[in-house]
Amino acid sequence: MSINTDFSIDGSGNIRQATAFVPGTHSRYTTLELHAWLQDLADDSASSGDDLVSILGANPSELAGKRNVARPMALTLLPAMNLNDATSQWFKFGSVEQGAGDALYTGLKVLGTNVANSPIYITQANAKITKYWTDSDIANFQILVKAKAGGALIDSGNIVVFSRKYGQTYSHFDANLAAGGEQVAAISTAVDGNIVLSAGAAETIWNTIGVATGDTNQDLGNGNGSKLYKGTITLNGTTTLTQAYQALMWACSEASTATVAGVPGWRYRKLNAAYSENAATPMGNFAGGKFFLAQGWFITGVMAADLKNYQLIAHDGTLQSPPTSVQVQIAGVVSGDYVLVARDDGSGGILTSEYTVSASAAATTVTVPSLKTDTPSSGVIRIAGNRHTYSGKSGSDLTGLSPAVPGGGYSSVSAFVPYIDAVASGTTISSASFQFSSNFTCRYRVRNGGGSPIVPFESTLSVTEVGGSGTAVRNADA
Amino acid sequence: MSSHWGFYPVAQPAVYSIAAAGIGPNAGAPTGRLRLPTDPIGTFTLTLTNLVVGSAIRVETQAGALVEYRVADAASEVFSVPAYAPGNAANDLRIKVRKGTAAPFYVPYETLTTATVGSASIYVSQIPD
Repeated sequence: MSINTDFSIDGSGNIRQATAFVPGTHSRYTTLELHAWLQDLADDSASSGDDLVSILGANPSELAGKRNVARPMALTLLPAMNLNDATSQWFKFGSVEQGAGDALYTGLKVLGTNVANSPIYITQANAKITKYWTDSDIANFQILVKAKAGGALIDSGNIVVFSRKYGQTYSHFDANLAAGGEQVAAISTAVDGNIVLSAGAAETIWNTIGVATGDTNQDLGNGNGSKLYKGTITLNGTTTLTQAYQALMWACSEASTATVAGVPGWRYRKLNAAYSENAATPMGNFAGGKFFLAQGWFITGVMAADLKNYQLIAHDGTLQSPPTSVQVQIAGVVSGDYVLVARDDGSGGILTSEYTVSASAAATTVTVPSLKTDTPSSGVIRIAGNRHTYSGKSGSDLTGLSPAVPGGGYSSVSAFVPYIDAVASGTTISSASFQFSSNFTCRYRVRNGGGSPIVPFESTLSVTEVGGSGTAVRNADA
Repeated sequence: MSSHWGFYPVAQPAVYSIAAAGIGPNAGAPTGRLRLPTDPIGTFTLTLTNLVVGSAIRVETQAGALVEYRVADAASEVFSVPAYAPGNAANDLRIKVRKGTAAPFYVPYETLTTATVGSASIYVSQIPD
């Protein structure tokens, strides 16, 4: 086949395909090749065959600039020459304007590193364009897309080029075709190793997930207080986060019939116009066993085993992780050893002036200004050296003091909250759980001057996001 | 001196033979004739210069009737074109010069001229395509 047999030109300037373009079978001609063919015909003394162009007629075409096979050519068909939509599918690498600017077909080229046969789909005015290309075209994707009709740009010339094949990471690119020539869309896809479910299985799970938009204020209990989210993903309590991730990816795939945040999943991009997009994984990405949800989504119904395996981005852009609960443990002790573990003061002692508090006599609640978030929810507070247990924590208040504040009360006295302040009953002793906030150092003392006397032992330990531990060395004091 | 009719450069509706009057040697001989509008009154010698060899040249009336088509063999081509009485639409010519079949290619060139008895030269400025 050659260009002069693939097309005919009638006396009205209608350039028409001899047969419909078959993606994967036919090759596209460049707009320069179309121009060259028309010009070849235009200097003939008379037309012949079914191509009614010769020197008898007006110049059929012109280029913006000189012929250059290395550059996309912007071709203008003059004055009555024209392609129809079907015939335009035969061309690439440039643009074709016709009808004195009434119609424009603009070139589109896809660039990027992609998985072989990554399917491309294009939306224009939020609707998918019927494909006239094949998945294998991704290796060298160049087509013309109609950008203007009847003298008006279609959706201002805007299109979105997508590749969203379930099992791969996704990609999309906004392009504008108004300028003609050839516009580029950068698309990048990769195999998604987190996808192990079949599309059917993912769809089944999707059908158990609730995805709703709407403002919701939620406090993860991580010390950051209540945060605004713009949508909620509700799991059914038996769906793991990795399953949820796969189901949400399916919902955003090209083949999806799901609706996400009020739009078809295949063109869902983000929850709020002000947010940054997660092009590769629109609902959030999954890495290292953890689901990093896209901004604005709150998730609930998470299985207990997954309670720590996700991270949110609140509407205000702050990262929100579920709190980490840790403990401090001292080993190498025996029953009867007294163990004191508290923050180190950095000078070889215990930070006994961690807080300054005041309290009335007989009070069972003490307000501790700037009480740290990593304070256990129950335990011991030492006020002016006096040991009080507390049974609850509410904001800056420690409640359930026992014994109650002694007569005379406290007035701006030093206080600290040890993590362990008790007699061991076994070979180890642990603090109550507390919410990890940041690394710090503890100093611990182990003493026994009673039935099993030892030389007082003192050392330090580090508390990290996995907690802290230390071991006593018991040297007999005999 | 006897009077006679010469070529009369105005379109006339009919053809007449005009005989000389008197008794001299030219008595009765035609001294002029009237012409139809479609009859040329002379030749317009049109020279196109600066042509790209190989260019197709079509000289046609502005109504589209072919006057001559040829392919340039040289940078200068001479055309002998019939010239008609002033006002005749057949004098209004369009010249097309194209080279789109073989490289180097040129943007189609087109210009207009009017045929008159005599000659004219047109410099053809073809632009590479």
